[in-house]
Order: sequence, then C-alpha cells, then structure tokens
Amino acid sequence: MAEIIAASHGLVVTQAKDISQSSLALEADVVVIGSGAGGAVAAYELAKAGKSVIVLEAGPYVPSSEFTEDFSQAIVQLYEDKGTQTNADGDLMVLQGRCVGGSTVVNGCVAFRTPDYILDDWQKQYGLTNLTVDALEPYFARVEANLGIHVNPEHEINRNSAVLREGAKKLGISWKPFQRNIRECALTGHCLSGCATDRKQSMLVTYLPWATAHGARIYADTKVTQILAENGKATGVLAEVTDPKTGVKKADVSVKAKLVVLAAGAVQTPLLLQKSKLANSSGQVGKNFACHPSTFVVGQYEEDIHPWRGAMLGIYVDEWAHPSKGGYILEGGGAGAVELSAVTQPGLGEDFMDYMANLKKLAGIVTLIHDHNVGEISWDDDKKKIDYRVAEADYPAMKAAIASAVKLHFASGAKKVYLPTVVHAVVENPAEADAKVAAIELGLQSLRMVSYHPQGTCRMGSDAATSVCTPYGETHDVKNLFITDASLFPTSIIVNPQVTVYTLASYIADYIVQN
Amino acid sequence: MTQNKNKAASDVSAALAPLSRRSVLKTGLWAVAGVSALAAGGFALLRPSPRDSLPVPAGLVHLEAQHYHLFSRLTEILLPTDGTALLPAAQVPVVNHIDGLLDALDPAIRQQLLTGLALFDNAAVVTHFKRFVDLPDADALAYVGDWVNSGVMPKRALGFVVTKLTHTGYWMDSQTWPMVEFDGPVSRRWGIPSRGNQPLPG
Repeated sequence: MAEIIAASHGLVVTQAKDISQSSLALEADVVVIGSGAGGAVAAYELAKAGKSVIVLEAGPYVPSSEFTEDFSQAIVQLYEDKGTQTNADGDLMVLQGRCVGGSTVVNGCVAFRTPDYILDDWQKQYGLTNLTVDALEPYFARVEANLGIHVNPEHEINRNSAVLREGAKKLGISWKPFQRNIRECALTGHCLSGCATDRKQSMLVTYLPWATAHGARIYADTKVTQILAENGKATGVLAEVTDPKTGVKKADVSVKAKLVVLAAGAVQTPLLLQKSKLANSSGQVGKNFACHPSTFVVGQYEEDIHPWRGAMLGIYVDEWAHPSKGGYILEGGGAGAVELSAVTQPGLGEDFMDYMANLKKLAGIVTLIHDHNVGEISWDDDKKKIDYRVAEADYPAMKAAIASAVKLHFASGAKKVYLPTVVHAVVENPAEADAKVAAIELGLQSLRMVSYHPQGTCRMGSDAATSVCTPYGETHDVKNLFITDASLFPTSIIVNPQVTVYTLASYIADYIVQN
Repeated sequence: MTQNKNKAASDVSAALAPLSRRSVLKTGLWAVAGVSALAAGGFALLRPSPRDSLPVPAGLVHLEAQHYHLFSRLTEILLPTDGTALLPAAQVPVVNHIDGLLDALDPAIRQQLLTGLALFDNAAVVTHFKRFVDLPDADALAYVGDWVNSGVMPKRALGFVVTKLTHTGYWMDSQTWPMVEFDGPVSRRWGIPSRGNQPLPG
C-alpha cells in the first residue's frame, strides 16, 4: 500500500473558476458542510477511516501566499460579510472567518481546553454524561499533538503581555501564559489577518491537507442551500457555486450522501436547518446563542510597548474565570494601528490624534465574559438576523471585567486607561477608576463590543424536547445528520472555543466510525 | 487604487455596525430628523454652502459631492496634525479611502448611511443656522462631540459612524504608519519563509 503524504504547500480545491458546467451531481459517503474547525476535523477523521468525503465551503479558497498582513484588507478577504456582520442592534460585531479553513484561519491561536467546571455543568444540566474530563482526555491530547499546541515560551510573550504580567504579579492575581496552536511562531503579530508564513496550525495547513491526502474532495465558493432528508434520515444536500468576484451563480450542485456533517458555524448552521425545515421539533434551533462579548481596554504607558510586535496573545488572567468568582477572563492582546483607532473614544480632534501619536506606548487587554445564552439566530425575510443583547444578568460581569482590566493596567504602570465605551471616557488615575467604570451606562450602543466566539444555537442534550442534538452530536430528529461546530455548546465556555470544537469533532467522528 | 478600495478596516465594521440595524435608520434617524424639523419649523435640506462649488476629485464610486465636502470638513477638524510629527491629513486621500470602505456594505445599508450623512450635515441648520460644513472649527468639533456623546441612541450611532469612518480613512493608509512606528506587513519584508503544510500525524 502506498504511503499517504499530504501536499507540502497549498490545497487541492475545486473553485468556481474551475467549474464550467451548470450543474454538478456528486456522491460520497459523507458530505461535510463547512471547512472550519468542526468540518475539517470531521472530514479528516472520516476520510482516514476510509469514508469517501466531500467538503463544501461557502467562502473562497485563499492560499496563505495571498495573505496581506493588512487587517483592513484581510477583513474583506477572509471574514463573513466582509467584516460587517453584527447583531441586530448594531452594537456588537460578530467576526467569523469565511474562507476555506473558516475561523481557524483568522483566530488568535489561543488554545484552551474546555474548563472542567463547564463539562461538569453540561453533565448535570444537559445530561451530557458521556462528555467527562476523562472521556475527552485522549481527544484533547490528540488535537493538541496534531496542532502543535504548546505553552508560550518566554520569547512568545510580547511587551504588551509582559507588562501586564508584572501588574498581575503586583496584584497577586492568577495569570498564565497562553497555550497556542502554532509552530515556530514568526512573531509578526498578524494572526487576525491569516498567517502568511503558515506558522499558525489552522485547518488550512493541517486537517484539510490531511483530509485530501486521504481522498477528501474540497469545493470552495459552494454554499449549501438545503439539507435533504427522507424518512427521518439525511440523504444529502443541495448547493450553489457562486463566482466570488461577480456574485453570479455558476452551477447548481447536488450531493447524495449517507451522512451529512453540518459545521457551518453557530450562525450559519441554525440558519441552514431552519431553511431546510429540519431537526427543530424542540424549537431550539437558532436559540440559546451566546458569544463571549468582548471589549478591548487600552492603557497608555510611559515606556514603548509597540503592541503590534511579537506574538499577538501572550498571557491571560484567570483569577475570575470560574463563574462563582465572576465568570470572566482578561487576555493580554496586541493590536495594530487601525484596530487601536477604533476600540475607544479618547476624545475628538487633538485628543484623538494625541492618543494615536502615542500608539507605541499603548497596551491592550481583551475582556471575555461567560455570557448567558440569550440570543437567537433566525431569518428576517431573506436576511439573517442575530438577535443578541448582553443580558442584564451579565452586566455585573461586563463591568467587573472592565474594572479589573483598568486596575491591571494601573498596576502594570499605565498612566491613563481608555474605557471601551462609545462615549468619551478616560480614567486618568487609579483613584477615579471605580467611579468611572461604575458610571458606564450599559445598554444599547454603550460599549464597543466584538465577538469572535458565536456558539450554542443547536445545543446538545439528552432530552430531545429541549435540545437539538444528542450527546454524540447527531440531531434528535434526523438520523445521520451530525453537527460538529460550536452550535453544539449548551452554555458558553468562557474561554476561546477552538480546542473544544476540534475535540468534539474528533469525538463525534470516532462515534460515527464506531457506529 | 484597487488595493485602497479593498481596505475595509476593522473599525469600520464597528463604525458601520450601528447602521446595520435597518430599523434604527428607518425609525431612529428619521425621528431625530423629525424633531429637528419640528424645532426649526421646517428642515432646510441642503442649504447652499460655499463649499458646494469646490471641486470634487474623480473616482468616487459611492460618495457624491455633498458627502465629499462633509468628509473633507470632518477630516479638517477631526485629524489635526499641526505641530505634530504625524502626516498632514491633507496628504492622505481620506475621502477616497472612505469611499472604498463603503464597498463592503450591503447596498441598502449604504444608501441609508448616505441619507444619514446628509442629515448629519443639515441638522446643524436647526441649532447653528448653518450646515455643518460651514461651522467654524470650534463649533464643528463641538457639534460632532454632541452627536458622539448624545443620549439619543440613533444620533450617537451616526456620530460614531462619521468619526470612525474619518479616523479609519486616515489610519488605514500605510503612509501614516511610519510616524507612529507601526510596522504594517512584515513577513515578506523580513524574508520569513513559509512552513507550508504540516505533515500527516504519525
């Protein structure tokens, strides 16, 4: 038997430009919808097990040689809706990758295991008694080995994170270096624009080329429009190939398959199920959306920080991670000029330009909270709708996270701290920190919020009346229809979700193979 | 130029976010307009300004002359560089960049934004008897501040959008980066080789 070898560079992908016929009829054992964390892992594991696999990706194939390291270009090139996807109120950006490799191409490489207390909660509240720490341990270990996940060594902690580490030590609060999925990090700081030199172990350079080495076929520019089912069993999908440059449809596609794996992400996955009128006897498809609404709290220092230099994410503070202690984490995060011009309101005119003139002296902290699953994804005529407002129950965590970030900045030596508010708000000294944060009026258009972590819209559970998927990722209603993305999470998980998705996808793929 | 057109900055997504809820624009902004009109006894859309006769550069796709003059005025007051080491805003094609940023928008939202820009300019007639583009510097800056810090959500949202578009139109230009030591793209400049695909797991 010939040795199976992955291509050394790039991917074999069928793109719109490669298709000349107006319709394609394909057949495989498995059709995977989406090529991000959940889809790529499932595709590889199932192809390795001998299944014929087709992966359909709505976004384009952008090889890393075309990554520009200019975020303002990357967001158009690689992100959903060219970076303009927001909640219905328009006060929360929801950033997702939309390209072959999905969000794994544009994430910050942060690689947390699912916290034990989250898994415990899932067992107790949602009947996921199979997803124990012990049961998942080999899957965590597998993906960590496959993706080169390691604790940041000292040289991967940039100045932004190093100053915050000193502040955390002074405050006596718990901090840790991040674990990241990267090999030989080139310290360019451009993670969110895609890794131009393939150091980040995204799906683009790992599971997808591995899947194709085992025979999987990948189609880009191909958006699934309907999942098909007969007699309670999935039978395939319908899709359309669209030229990404013109927006003109080039071909209709049908894929006949014994198994459908849905991994389009926590926004698109429920939309597709709703459109297909499948798997929603519980009425939960699209509900329970959570997203870790995050802010970026900037401090200005005397010393040069150059927050765009080095590994983008170095250390995090987990002092308040457990829900009983607040349910939020702080992440030392670098950023570039355009991003830093957007994350706060330092004043207008000279005040703003003075802030920007001191760009190299700024350091950033990302706040992430364990938000309640109060949002909903649905169709509004022919447009998607992300109905999500930070729940009032989460206001204390939002404020506590910002307050802790301000304190950490001052303990780290900041001279002033800029609050992530829409209105002008600067904390000039530690004495006024509490009052300034307390004065933030949370509500519509109050904070500059971003979500990188949509989740929860097709939750798992043992009770078919209150959940969409079984504890093994199969929909309760439609056999042979599995979900392997962050839609599965019954609750938000506080930490960056990619490893949880990889792990669940591996676990579910094994379940499929064994059953 | 194509490259510039494709530069839709991250903060512009944030800046445009308030406009993505169509109901905000359908109801909120027009509510502001309605209140203004009532207060003024009539809303003088596009009251003539001396700026109206100034030339407009070729090549704008989405912005019309009135929008160009609005963003030119915003550039003057929001991006002061006198006495600093920063690149003078007049040397940066800020409005052209903003025009390129609008490419990323859903056409319906983009049209509503353009309508909102006209509202922003003309609403000053109610309080200052001049369009925004004709206000003196201090009044113009205060006017923007009034919108940005407004307690009326749609008004605040539009103030947020016009400031962020103006800021981004300047800072997305790589000519502005050396003055603040921002490195921009580095991998090719530093000659960092690609690692390529990771070999199959053992």
